[in-house]
Amino acid sequence: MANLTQTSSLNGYDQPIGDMRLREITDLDLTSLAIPHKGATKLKTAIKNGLSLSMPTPMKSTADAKSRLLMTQPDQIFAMTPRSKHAESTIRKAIGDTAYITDQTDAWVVLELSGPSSRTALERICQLDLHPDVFKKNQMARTTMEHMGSMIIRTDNDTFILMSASSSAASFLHAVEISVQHVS
Amino acid sequence: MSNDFRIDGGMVDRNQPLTFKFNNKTLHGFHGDTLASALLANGERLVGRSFKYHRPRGIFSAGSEEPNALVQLRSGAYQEPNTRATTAELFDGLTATSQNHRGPLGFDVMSVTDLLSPFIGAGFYYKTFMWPAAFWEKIYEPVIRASAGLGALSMQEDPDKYDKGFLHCDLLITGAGPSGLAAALAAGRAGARVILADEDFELGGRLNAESHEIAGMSGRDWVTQTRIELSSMDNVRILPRTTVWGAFDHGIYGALERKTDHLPHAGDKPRQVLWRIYTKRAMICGGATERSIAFANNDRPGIMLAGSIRAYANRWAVATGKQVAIFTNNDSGWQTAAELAALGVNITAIIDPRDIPAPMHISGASIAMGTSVCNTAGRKQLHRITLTNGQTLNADCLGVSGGWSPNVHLTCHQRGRPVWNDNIAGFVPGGDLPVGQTIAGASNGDMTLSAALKSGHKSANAAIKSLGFTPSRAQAPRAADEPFAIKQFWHVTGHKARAWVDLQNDVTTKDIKQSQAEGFRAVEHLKRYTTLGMATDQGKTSNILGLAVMAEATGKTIPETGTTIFRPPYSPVAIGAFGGRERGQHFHPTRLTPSHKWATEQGAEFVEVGNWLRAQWFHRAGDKSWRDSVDREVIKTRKSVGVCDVSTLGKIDIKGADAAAFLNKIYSNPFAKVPVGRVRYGLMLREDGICYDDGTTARMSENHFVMTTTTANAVLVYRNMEFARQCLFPDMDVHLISTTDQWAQFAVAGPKSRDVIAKLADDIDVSNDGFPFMACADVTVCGGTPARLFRISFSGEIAYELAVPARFGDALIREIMAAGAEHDITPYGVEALNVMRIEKGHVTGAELDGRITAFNINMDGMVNKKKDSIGSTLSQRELMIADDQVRLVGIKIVDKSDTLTAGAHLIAPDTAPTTQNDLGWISSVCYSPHFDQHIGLGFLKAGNAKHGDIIRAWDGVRGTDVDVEITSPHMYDPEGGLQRG
Repeated sequence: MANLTQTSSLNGYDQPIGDMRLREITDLDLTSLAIPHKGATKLKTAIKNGLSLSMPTPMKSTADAKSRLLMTQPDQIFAMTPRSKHAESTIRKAIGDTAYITDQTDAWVVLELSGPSSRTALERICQLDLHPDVFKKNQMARTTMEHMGSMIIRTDNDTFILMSASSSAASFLHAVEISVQHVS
Repeated sequence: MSNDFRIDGGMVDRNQPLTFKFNNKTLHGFHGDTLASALLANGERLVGRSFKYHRPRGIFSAGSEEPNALVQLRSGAYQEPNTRATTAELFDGLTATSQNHRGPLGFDVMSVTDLLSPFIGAGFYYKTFMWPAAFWEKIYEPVIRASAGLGALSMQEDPDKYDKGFLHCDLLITGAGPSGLAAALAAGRAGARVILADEDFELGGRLNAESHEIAGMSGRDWVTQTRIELSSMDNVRILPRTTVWGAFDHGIYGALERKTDHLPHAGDKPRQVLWRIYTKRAMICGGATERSIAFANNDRPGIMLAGSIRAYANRWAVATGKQVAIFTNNDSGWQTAAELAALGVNITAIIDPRDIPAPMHISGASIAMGTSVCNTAGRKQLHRITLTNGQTLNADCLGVSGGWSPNVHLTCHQRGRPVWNDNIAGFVPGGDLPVGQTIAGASNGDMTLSAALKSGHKSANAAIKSLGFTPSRAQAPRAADEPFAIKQFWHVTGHKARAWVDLQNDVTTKDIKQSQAEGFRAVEHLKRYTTLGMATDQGKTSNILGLAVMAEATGKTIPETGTTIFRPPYSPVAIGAFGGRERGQHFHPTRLTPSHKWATEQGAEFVEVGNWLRAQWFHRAGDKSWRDSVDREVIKTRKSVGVCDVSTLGKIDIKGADAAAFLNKIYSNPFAKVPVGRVRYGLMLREDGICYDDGTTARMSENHFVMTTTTANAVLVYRNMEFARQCLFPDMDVHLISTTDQWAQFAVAGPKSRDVIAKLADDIDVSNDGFPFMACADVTVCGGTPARLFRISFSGEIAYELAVPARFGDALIREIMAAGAEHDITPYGVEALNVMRIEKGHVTGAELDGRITAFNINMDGMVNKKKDSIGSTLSQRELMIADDQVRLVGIKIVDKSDTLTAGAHLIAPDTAPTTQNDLGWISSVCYSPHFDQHIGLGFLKAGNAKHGDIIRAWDGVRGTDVDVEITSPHMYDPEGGLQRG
């Protein structure tokens, strides 16, 4: 029996449009780390030791060159770490059983929009105030875009990560792509 | 170039000549012109016909208040009716046609209605077309609609694109006239995030139409200087061509930005963007709109608002006539006369009803104080005016100024009611304003330049100070206050000819008096009876005049008479802009299953299930209809093996030390002791005991369960469980996360399914002993890909559900097909899935319709009495478990040539199909290839005791009445031996 071939939601979409670049990110594991009752301190320590990151606070993310942690709800953190064969096992090696770990790699499509006009493009689809004084680097939020549940993270001045459900990835890409095209 | 009426100066760019067509006549203008200014420059005075009487009409104003000059802009599918020529920016190649006439504009055959005007005054429809009633829809209304109205739609799909967007600011300033610009400077210099929006394509507002000075320079130069300074500020965003059209809750404003309407072609960009602007504070600096005076035949082409004549001369370098007369009750009209005279335009006369000395001398003009215009002549172009002193004067243009009405519209959008100000003879903002909103400039009654600048500056500083900004030390721009004295003078009486109040709706003073005489005296009644203030201009030039005439008719003051208030939009917004960017396919998101590409290759027909696209059936050569496809899929699955993508089922991972205890609360049946590696079917009840979802939940490890829900209820179940987790059982250590999209899941069903799974799964014994019915496990497939395997069956056959991370879904379905090739495996869609579940007696949303209890579906035994779970107590209410309640039954037709319909009522033989005799209903039907007949599931009173009975399925909607046999709902393999095998 042949090994199964992976396909990404958008087949690795990567396009320059105007002064922007829109691409699918496919080299990440996404895992949900649910914090056990009264287990926040242990998890915080485990994250510090295992991932060399600090625990994010609500609406914020912490990151280094390889990984990023988001606080997505009061007792839930999302980890974005380099793609591995088995996301849950990989993260468990880093933090042990200090959190209830659930693989979310395939549940989300991850887009990166970068370039000088990226914030202008996002004005057409994202109802949040993305002014850099308000939505700062490493800030994140859960929101909706064109009726689709989504997450947005500012990773740099003109760079944003956009995430939405993988089943509607094509619709999400279309929505972002149209926004980009309309301002480029 | 026939710009006979073009004069020196102005803001048009003579280096950019433009060619355009009006009613197929080629004309010329310049960059910076509006269609209206270009038409006037070319001497075009007659531009349209009036709404009701088809009276010849000309351009009346110079802004969005225009009631007359409505045209159809562009052509073909791009044609847009009712476009105001006064706001349409001229571009090269523009085409426009006049509207609301039959035959040429100059010889409209419908103008005969003007001769019938004595019979068709206000309210004539209500009185005239009473009989016979059937004629209204078939004759009267179509005839009236054909003869009255404005422009026409192209009846083609709108090819333009539209978009929406979201903006945020500390301070939104609506209007970039003197007060708005002063406000933007103050707020911008203090560092506040400012959005400055104006409906015009040039900033400056009335400053472009006047010859004022500000800070020692011309008003126009000051606008330029201010624009440069504001443009240099990162914190200020200038939105020209943008109309703020609505003030909504929480400081949110609606705005329409016309992105490409001024260009010959939009390219691939949106024509307009509908913005939702989130503000902390908002300032309305909308200026004021001039209004007319009612006198006989005051609607002829050439009769215009005096301030507009000034604007056309100063801004667009157009003289609106060779012999211009002015009729004014205030000093603003004199300003028009003075400025036109200075530009070399011949002013023939100034007529002022005020008994005061003439405010100024105008060279060459005769001055008539204490006098009014009482009639005019000239059907398609004004020729002559008659004064109340009996004098007649030749004039091809008459400028009328009845005063200025502050633009209070946006202050009314949350029920703010303006209040009367005698000093300016106008309504100013009053009552409760929208939260965070302030008003400045002429909108607030500050009618002179210096006052407007100061109020803009001061209000902006107050607004930003309240947000914590420190206002800059800069002073308000300096300017003089021009004279602004006015006498309330509304209409000239004593002449029998009609005097127009509302030009757009052909409402005259006579109509208003008739409304009063017939008892429609309240302003809201007046509006609806006469149509005063309706349509595209929303009465910007007519409302106050109408109120004043009504006040006079009733003997009341204007404040006593009151005013109507305004609702959004301030000016018309295309429906396409509200619709936004997406029509058709992308109107809502589409969810695709992991096997979608493969299913498409396999000839699947797809069906929308919520946002999902699911394979409905797979067409094969030889299938003559969808039924052939479905029958084949069912037969082959039951005979050998089939595969179906079930990834759309809701999947929720439940983790935590208290996960089992939590599920024991959620499900009505016990879950606390489900062994690891086992799956249990569960029933979920609402708090009121009604059953709302069912599904299976697998215990993958001590603290980890995987729940499946129906596709339709995935979100509802998750939401309800999250509510229970956070609000009902906050002390439980339990966590939920949706994994619906994480896993590609395939049902492999049929007698040969085990062979297929055995080939795919690595190192697991899938024999009946090693992996029995309702077993589950974390496994790997195809050489190490992590997977989940469940031994569950919806079809009634021996079956498995195999799940892999969604990125492997496409590959897995291909491997499943390859593994099943030797058994001629068939893919099956949701139709076949539905047939098999009906044969087996499994319920879905068709049965769990929000009224059904566990008792009704014969699962009352699953409501555990020894534990407490959501809905269990209320499910045991006496009447809900009474013997005569409906029960789920199977239904087979007696005569196999008959068909069944879902929704049919079940009634006893020899009884009338009445509500009293109704015994139940059929919820699901299908053609069963296994039984070679139509079968169904339904609910029948005391149905458990009626298996074997013959009754009737009566469908009054579809006109069928067939005999049916009541059976157990488990029609296929009732003992369940196959699925356990």
